Amino acid sequence: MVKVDGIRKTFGAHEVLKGVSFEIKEGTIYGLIGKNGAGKTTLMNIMTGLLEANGGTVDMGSSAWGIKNKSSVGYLPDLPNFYDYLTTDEYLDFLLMDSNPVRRNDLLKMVGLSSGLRIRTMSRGMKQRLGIAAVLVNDPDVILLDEPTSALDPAGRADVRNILMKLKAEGKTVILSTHILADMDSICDKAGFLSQGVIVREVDIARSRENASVMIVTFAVQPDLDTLRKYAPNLTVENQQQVKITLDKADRLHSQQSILEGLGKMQQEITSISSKSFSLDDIFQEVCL
Amino acid sequence: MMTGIKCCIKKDIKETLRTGKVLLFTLLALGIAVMIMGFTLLFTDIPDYLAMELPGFDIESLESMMRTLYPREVGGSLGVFSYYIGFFYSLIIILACNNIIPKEQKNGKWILPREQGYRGKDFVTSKCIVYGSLAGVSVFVTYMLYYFVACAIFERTITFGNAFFLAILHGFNIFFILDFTLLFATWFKSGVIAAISMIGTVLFVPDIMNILPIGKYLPTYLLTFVYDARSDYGSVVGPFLINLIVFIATYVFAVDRLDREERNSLKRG
Repeated sequence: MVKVDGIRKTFGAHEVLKGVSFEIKEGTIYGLIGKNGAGKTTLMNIMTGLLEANGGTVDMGSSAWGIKNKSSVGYLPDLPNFYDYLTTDEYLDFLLMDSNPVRRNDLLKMVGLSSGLRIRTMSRGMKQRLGIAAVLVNDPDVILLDEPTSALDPAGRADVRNILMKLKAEGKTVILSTHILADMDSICDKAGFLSQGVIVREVDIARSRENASVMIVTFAVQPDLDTLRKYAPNLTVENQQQVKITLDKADRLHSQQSILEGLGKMQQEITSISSKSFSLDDIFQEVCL
Repeated sequence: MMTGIKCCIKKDIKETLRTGKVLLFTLLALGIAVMIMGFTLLFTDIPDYLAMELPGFDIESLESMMRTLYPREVGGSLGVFSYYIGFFYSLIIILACNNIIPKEQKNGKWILPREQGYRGKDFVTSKCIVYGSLAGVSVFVTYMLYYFVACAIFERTITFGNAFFLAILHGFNIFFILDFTLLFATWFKSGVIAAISMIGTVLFVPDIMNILPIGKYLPTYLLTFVYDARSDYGSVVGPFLINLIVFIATYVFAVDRLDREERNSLKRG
């Protein structure tokens, strides 16, 4: 269990973190979401010990953070910088202190890189994969990745997502920050929205995806809302002709069917019906902007 | 800890080879040697040429001036060569290396290695050993090459033993100049401050110190000893020891600063 409790950080007069608290279960992927400047990197730097907090505690597993459990945490900064005159295998050998060529080969295989590749000639995506391999050198239990997909093309992002899923399957706890919410949506178990220096909302993504979905119904003219509410009690008016109906979490399919039936009975011209499932983007818009 | 330094040394050797530093250091020293040899041969012939072209010109004083500036004997010529090495070579290597450590630190190149157990001390020690040795050895080798070539062309006024000692001493001088630059850069976290302080020390302090009576006890005396191609070896012991003590102290301060940073970063609030 990773536990962050009341972390505060001030730069001059500016209080970036005002008491950030959250917990992460072992073997899960936790997404840290926030707009640029929200303090995600600061928080990660504090969690990894690169930066000192003004208050609060970080527990990264068996004991509170300290030099003893340093190797149990791996951190990949947003723009990892390598000794680019080295090759992939030379760099990993350097990190392994020339002690474990088997581990080096395993890591290269895991991230899909070949040995002997000069880092200077590698694409951003390849460098990001090398960074992940570098973080895994000491086989840490907790891995923090700061914006691991931000500078990558779709193929590179897919590669990183696959690696993260592999890590999760191996039982690693992964904490990642990114502003690419689609990535979070597809791989994270839980997400925390960081805004105004605190975690303003935490979302259990898998459960939310199961429970929440909405229908957007657009009418040709303004609908009779009283009648509509009889069939769809959880509705929100988007604009004069459009309503958003939240489906019943317990029985989504049945709820959808009865609403469609009701809409048919209303005998009002409908121009479009679309369904929209759970979206981190909506929550981001709501709590971070 | 030793493993960390050893691996850093291995990495830094690759760095000097693959980033062109070996080429720069070697060609620079050789270039200065060729330049001084060329000046000596060319400029000392100018008075004879002028005597032919300008009858009545005061050739003798010009000839004497040229022979003072570029003596056509081995000891004097080595002195001129070592002065140019002390001046231009030092200047260029200081400017080429002053920012290496602060830049690596600022660029976050130490983050991933530190996670795997490397310490700031490993990076700094390795850089001092590799870069200092590269500079020192290239100066030593070039000095000896210059000696052999000069012996073949000019009057031999200095023994092999003396030249060898001066070459070693000058190699050490350059080693220390570069290492002080690297350590100051670490200590002050600024390559600019390190470069300014070292350039000032190397270029101006020896001349000022020569005037003062305490000058012969200070490390800068080692430079003037080589420039003058002296052979009273006993006089270098004191300044060399002082140099060593100052070097150790600077190393301790620089590494202590890194250690304190590491300790602070690991303290949890």
